[in-house]
Amino acid sequence: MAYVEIKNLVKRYRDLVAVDHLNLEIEKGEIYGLLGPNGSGKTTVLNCLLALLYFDKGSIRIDGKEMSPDAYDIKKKIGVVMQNVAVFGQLSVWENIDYFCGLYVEDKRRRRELDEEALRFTGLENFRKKKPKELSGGLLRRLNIACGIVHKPELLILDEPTVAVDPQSRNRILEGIQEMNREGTTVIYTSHYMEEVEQICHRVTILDQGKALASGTVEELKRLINTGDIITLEGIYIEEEQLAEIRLLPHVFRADYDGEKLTLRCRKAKDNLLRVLHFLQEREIPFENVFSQLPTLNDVFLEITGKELRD
Amino acid sequence: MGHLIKYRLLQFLREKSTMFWSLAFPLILSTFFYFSFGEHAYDDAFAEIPVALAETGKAADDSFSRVIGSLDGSLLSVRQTDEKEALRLLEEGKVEGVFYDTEKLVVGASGTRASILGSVLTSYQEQAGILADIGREHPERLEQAAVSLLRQDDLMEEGAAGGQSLDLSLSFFFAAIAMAAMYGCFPGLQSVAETRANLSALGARQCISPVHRMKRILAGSLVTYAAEFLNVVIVLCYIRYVLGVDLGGSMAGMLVICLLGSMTGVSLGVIVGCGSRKSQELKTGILIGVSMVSCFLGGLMSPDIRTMTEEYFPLLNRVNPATLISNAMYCLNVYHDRGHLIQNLGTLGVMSAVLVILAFLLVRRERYESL
Repeated sequence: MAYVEIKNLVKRYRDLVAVDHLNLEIEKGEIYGLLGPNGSGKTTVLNCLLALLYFDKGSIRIDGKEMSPDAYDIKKKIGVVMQNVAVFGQLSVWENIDYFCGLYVEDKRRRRELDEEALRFTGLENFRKKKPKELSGGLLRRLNIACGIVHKPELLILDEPTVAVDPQSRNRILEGIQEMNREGTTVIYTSHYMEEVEQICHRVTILDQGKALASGTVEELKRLINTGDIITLEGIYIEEEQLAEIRLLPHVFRADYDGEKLTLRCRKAKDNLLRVLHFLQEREIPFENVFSQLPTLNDVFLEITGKELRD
Repeated sequence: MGHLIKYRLLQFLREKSTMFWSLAFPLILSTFFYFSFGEHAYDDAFAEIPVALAETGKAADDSFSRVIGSLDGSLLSVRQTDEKEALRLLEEGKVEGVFYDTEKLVVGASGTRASILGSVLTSYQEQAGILADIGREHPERLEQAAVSLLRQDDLMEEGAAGGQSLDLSLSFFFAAIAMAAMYGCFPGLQSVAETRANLSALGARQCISPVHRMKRILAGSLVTYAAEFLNVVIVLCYIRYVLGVDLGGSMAGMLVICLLGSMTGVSLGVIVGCGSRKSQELKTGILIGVSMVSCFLGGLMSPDIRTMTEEYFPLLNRVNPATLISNAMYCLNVYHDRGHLIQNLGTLGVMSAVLVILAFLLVRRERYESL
């Protein structure tokens, strides 16, 4: 049985279907990504999962038990890092961490150890006496995370924890999540940053308009689509007729040209790049740079939904 | 539970805007009132005033001496003596005035208490003059006139119970205490925002925790109600013991009024906080408006407002919490009117109980339609 099991979940806000018959099975010990643009229903799924929202249909089980507002034994195992920073402005960094730890851990001595560990883990040791308003955006996010992980939860739910965070803090946060996962924590991670999801998640579900469009490992998702290579040529000047010819090349299914950069999406096949270069050489079309990429999750999203992830 | 209480208390005490409005502002306003009305205006305003009654032997009758003697133990502390001894007592500061049996008064210094002695003499002379005139011109109506004068005293007392102030300056202090209680709405508002998942991220974060929601609500409410009550008590004690304003009644009774008042104030904030999902700023604005209007009608700017409201919209005075609080204080301290005191406390009690129950029912929700 899966550690987290969401079956046929439907959540409506009046006429809007925010979550549309969603099914998820998350195994113990994995980092599971929910990837989707803003408004795709990621946060609504988490709020239903945490028994904050009524839902119209479906069931949610965690560790084999039905999740409900009174399921305190389940809640004890969960750590949550909300999208919006949820800390007390009147309390210091240390007091905030200790407060949230105290909601889960009664023993004072144990609590102190955990507080210190969370401070170290998030690199906030030197800020323990500071008030939240004295912290930078990145440090504030780290405090938000410290409050969510301080009691060493079995299941950690992170809702876009890196929004508005500087790259240095972001890397630290992602490394921290991976470290916790290595220690046995199951993680549900939502983001609209595909690079992050690609970097840390074992399995991913792509959500759009409340629907799960595809699920699987990153590699499995990439295999779902037709895109093989994405070839980009910079500093290239071509005529409309030449562009039409390029579009007719074998395996090229899309060509975008902006006046100096040509992007070609090719189906999975051998020697796509060689074939394109050979064509350009034959027509004596010069260019400055060329590079070829394997598809990203963004390409997966683009191909499945027909729009960019950050649209 | 101790953990929740400790941190809720820390939040309450460190929330500067809340502490300013519910504690610092009433203290500042009370100090302002104190200096506006004269530093020593309230010193022992309700204590008996020591006076000497000098027997000169030149008085036509002993009626004045008997009237002054009848006030001994209530308004005055009278020492009957000869003129020489009376003046010596006055010089030594042992009495504050000397009444002569010839209807004369000598006071040691000007001030509130000298004015009270002056008004005792004036009042006697006016009433004696009226009765003397009637006795001369219509002796058959003398008895009716005497009864009428007695009834006039009763009417004045009834008017006071309806809202007219005997000592106007005291009404400002009662209104300031009422205001401190009403401003409990701000910590009430703050506490509810941090309890409900649909009002703030902090509320949601706390709802997710494994602490039973009733325990959380109880701890938060206990601290908010208790701390706000303490704030009002601090204002009360500051007025009574630091400024030295003699409020004139039982402190235990005052504490009961403060308790019910602060409960009403905090619950009002909770109700407004729970009532809708409008922004915190808008709700704060609504509460500022409501509490200011309530305090204004309760006589914070002028006791006449309370009297006018009593005259034109009496029902408003029966439901306005600030008016109920200051009226209760008047009944307890000035009029010693048990009936009206119980009526005011009862209304305040029912109001705070209804608000507390309603607030409790609103904050105990488990799940929400949307966040």
